Amino acid sequence: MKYLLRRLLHSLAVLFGISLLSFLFAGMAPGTYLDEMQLNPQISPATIAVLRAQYGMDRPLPVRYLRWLNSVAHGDWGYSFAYNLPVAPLIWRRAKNTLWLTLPATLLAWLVAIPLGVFAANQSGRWGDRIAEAGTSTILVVPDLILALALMIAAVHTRTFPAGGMSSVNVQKGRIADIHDLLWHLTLPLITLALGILPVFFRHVRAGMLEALASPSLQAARALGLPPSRILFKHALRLAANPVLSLFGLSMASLLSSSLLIEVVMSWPGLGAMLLEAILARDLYLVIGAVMFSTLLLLAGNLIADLMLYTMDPRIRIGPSQ
Amino acid sequence: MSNSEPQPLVSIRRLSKRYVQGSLWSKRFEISALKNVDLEVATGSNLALVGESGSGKSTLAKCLAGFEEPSSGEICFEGRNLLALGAKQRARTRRSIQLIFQDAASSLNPGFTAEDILLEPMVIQEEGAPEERKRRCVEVLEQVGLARLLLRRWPHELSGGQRQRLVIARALIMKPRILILDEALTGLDLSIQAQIVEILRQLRKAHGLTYLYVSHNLGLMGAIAEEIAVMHEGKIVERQSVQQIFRSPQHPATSALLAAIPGGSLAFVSRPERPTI
Repeated sequence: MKYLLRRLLHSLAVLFGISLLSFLFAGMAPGTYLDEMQLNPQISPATIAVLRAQYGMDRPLPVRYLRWLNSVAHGDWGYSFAYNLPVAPLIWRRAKNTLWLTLPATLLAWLVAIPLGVFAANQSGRWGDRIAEAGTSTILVVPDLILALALMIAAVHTRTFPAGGMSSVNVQKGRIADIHDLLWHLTLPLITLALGILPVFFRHVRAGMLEALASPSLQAARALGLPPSRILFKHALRLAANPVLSLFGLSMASLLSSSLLIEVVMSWPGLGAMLLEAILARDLYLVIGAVMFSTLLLLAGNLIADLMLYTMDPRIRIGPSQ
Repeated sequence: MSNSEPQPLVSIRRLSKRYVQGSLWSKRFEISALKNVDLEVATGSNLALVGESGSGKSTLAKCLAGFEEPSSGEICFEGRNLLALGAKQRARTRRSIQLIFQDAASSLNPGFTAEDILLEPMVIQEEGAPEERKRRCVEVLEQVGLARLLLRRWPHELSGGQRQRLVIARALIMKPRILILDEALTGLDLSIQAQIVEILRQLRKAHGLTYLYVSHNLGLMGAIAEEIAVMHEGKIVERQSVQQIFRSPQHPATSALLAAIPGGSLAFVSRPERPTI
């Protein structure tokens, strides 16, 4: 409990620090949302001055920061200039779509990476390992963009899957039909994303397992005549859990960013396209909101990973008593 | 290298081990770690395998313990060639040969308590009723001088000496005939080293265990073993009693190891009552 509380306080401090830094950097970046309007001869400088005052851009940075903090406290997370709406609901609507894509993709990548990594480490140096290594290395060097385009071309030619979007226009209404339609649209971006992140996970699991398998404790387990499956899954996997769980926490952090490119290419209505526009238009609070949301996921992922480590590793749970 | 025993516990004949280095793309080359090694270990003996790094002593120990597959030769244990046995029988025989590693901390899985560590081999082999298994755990703990209280502890909660004793206790659970101690005393501080040596001495007396030490430290081995076999470049070049090794080394490799003992070796040999275990 004390551990959890300490970790939560720590997370809060990180969140605060990140918000401060994002504000500082955003303030240092050249240009504002109103710059483009100033070039428009139809908008008078007086109007722009009014807008500037209305958005609070004429105030010094600390005041703007405090105002933003106040809006965070009210659940708005700032105000988007471009959409004329509070940031939080705006981001959440799009982030939901992104999470629909990234959560199952990350899960799928882990579900494949763990058994494949265990298998490859166990087969180390033999053909099974070499094929797994070569396969994942190939995927690793192919850019996500090419992978996405190749799958889309295949989809267009075979007409098995839609080439983009998240839902069909003329789909009949109904819950089951909706879910079916969503899954149908989800398949290609999901596969592309899962393939993109799989090699990194696989390599981590394999390396962790290789290290565990070479450890004297595993040699001792073999000398005691324990069956190979027990050695692999009960002893080695537990030893390898530490680095793998840490990576799991980090993988949560990239849930919002890992799919940016795929969202744009496969026209998935996620956060990616909106964030790109917001950055180009200097829609400051929307960008900061996205950064904060990403940070929240990172902290949550790390917290989950730490709690899992806490329950699994007695060295963290119970300090040395000597 | 003859032995007066009618049937030695371990008899290694013409054992060779070659490692092939290189991959699909680079040139392959061979390293001979063991070259036609012959070694007999009598029941109840107390032999040390000494040599510099890369002399092949650890490879020999690993082959004997079943961690490495020799390239050619025979390893007979109680008269049966281990390398010719089927997998099941080999696994059973292997339990009689237990290896104790140098680093006790890393040879205990941090995710298991002392009790789990001791119980696991018995559970796997479905040996005895649960109460009997527990009784056996306490028994081996007492044999290595650990309190039963420590059963609930995790390895990281134990001191270095306690961990090494737990490792020995785990090996004893299998009721082995021979313990291979691969640099098992290296890295422990002197008082703990003395404690472990004392425990080993008592265990040998009580169970008639055979010890095969593997070490680069001739000085230390002179203090605890009765016989010493010196390895050099994959071969056993000399095997003598401790006194003879220290008085009249035959091979230059032995002389080099003697010269490496801090404080000189002669003072050590002339000590009237040399403690052996």
